[in-house]
Amino acid sequence: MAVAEASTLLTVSSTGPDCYADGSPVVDGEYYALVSIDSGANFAGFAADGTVVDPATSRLLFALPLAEGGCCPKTRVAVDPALIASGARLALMVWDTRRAVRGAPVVRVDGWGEVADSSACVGFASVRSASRATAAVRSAVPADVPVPRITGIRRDGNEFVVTVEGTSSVLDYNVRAGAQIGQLNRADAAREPVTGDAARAIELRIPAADGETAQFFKVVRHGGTE
Amino acid sequence: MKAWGVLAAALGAVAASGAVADDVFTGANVLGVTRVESAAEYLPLAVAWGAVGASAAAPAADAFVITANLEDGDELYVYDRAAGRYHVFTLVRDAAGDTWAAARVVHVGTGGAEVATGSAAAEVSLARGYGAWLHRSGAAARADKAVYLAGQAESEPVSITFAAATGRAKFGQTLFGPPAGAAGDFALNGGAINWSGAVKGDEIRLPQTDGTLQTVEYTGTKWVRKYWERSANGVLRLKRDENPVIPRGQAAWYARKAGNEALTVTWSEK
Repeated sequence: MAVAEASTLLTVSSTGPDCYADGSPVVDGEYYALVSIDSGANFAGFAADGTVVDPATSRLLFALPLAEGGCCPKTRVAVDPALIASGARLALMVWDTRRAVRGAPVVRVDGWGEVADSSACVGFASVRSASRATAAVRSAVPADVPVPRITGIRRDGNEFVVTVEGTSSVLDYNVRAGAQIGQLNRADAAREPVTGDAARAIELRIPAADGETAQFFKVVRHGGTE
Repeated sequence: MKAWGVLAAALGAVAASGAVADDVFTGANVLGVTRVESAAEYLPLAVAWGAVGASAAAPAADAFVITANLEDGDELYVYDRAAGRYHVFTLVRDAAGDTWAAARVVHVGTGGAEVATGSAAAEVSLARGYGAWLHRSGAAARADKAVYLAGQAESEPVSITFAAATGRAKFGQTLFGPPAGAAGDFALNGGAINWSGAVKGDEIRLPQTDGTLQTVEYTGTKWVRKYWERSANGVLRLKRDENPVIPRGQAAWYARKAGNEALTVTWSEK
């Protein structure tokens, strides 16, 4: 794998112990993933097959079985600069793949948690946890969950109503809103989250923000991070 | 670093006296030492010297920088242009002496990620005229310690190729270090390098101690650094430095403007 000389060079590590959701430390050979997340975006998580849920705002740089002694040992990384958007942050995640078949070509991700992050920069950077804080592992999104798609928007009184298709009945949905497309800083902007429905479109109602001349909406999984 | 045992001892005297910045040791070959003054955590070093005892040969990674005043855990980053990979070596200090241990490196490119276990430092050559990074992690040590580069003095012309930009990149970037072994900083307009082929818009970017880059632009005929300076009455004025230099022993990025082919220049001793 060739990389440019002007690659972003970084060291990733965690002090550990990094733990699974049940509190047990990660086993040797557990996967750590490095993700580039666009500026202003919230990480939407991983699908069970290890892909990122929202490839429009995040990119999986690597996922490797690095775990040793309950942590990610110091590992040097050279990332081609073309893979990291300007202003993006890099985050090191630990996976829960205990139920995957070891050595199988396909990894099954049953959970993940963020261990450490860093602002990406040209030259050198460091992605390492600053304390021994345990990384809680959250459930991953099932691999077959589609990406929701906004199919319509209308004004209804003092609310915008967004019509969404491609949702899953196992998830609740909400909206992130903002006055600029790159700054969707109003989390949980919908009046209330709505459970998805694979068979038909759902509607999310967003109270209009006072004084804003423009608004942008993005449908996300409810919970604030996706 | 066993080969440098005697030299390192001699350097201790140089550093203690602070008498001269560059010393030359004579023997079967002419050896040179460059003292690099910098407190930077990540220090770009020029490959100014050749391998000891082998005419016109490139130095190996384990004999490029003198380790006597480095610290256990310091790192050396060497780019392999042919393979497009980084070699990273970690300094291990124990009773047996100092050794550079190869570190595992994950390379992440457009085609995915790959783990390289690394080659032994003695087997990785550094090309004269290019650069390598030294990472010194100890802040206290960096504050009052210089770095010493050493090797065989060479005066043969050296070709340096600056990579073209690829993909959507606005510049192709190559870390280069003037191969001059002489004392003093390297004057970009000093004539040691014929810059024929450089184009207006090409840049030389000098990494600073604080991690920022100082940019020098090619005007079409020479290198000029433009910078803002605030006068005593608070007015900002655009200034020009028409004699920019690369500090002795240090490397800098050559940023080749997109749309231009790779550029090869030749350094000849002046």
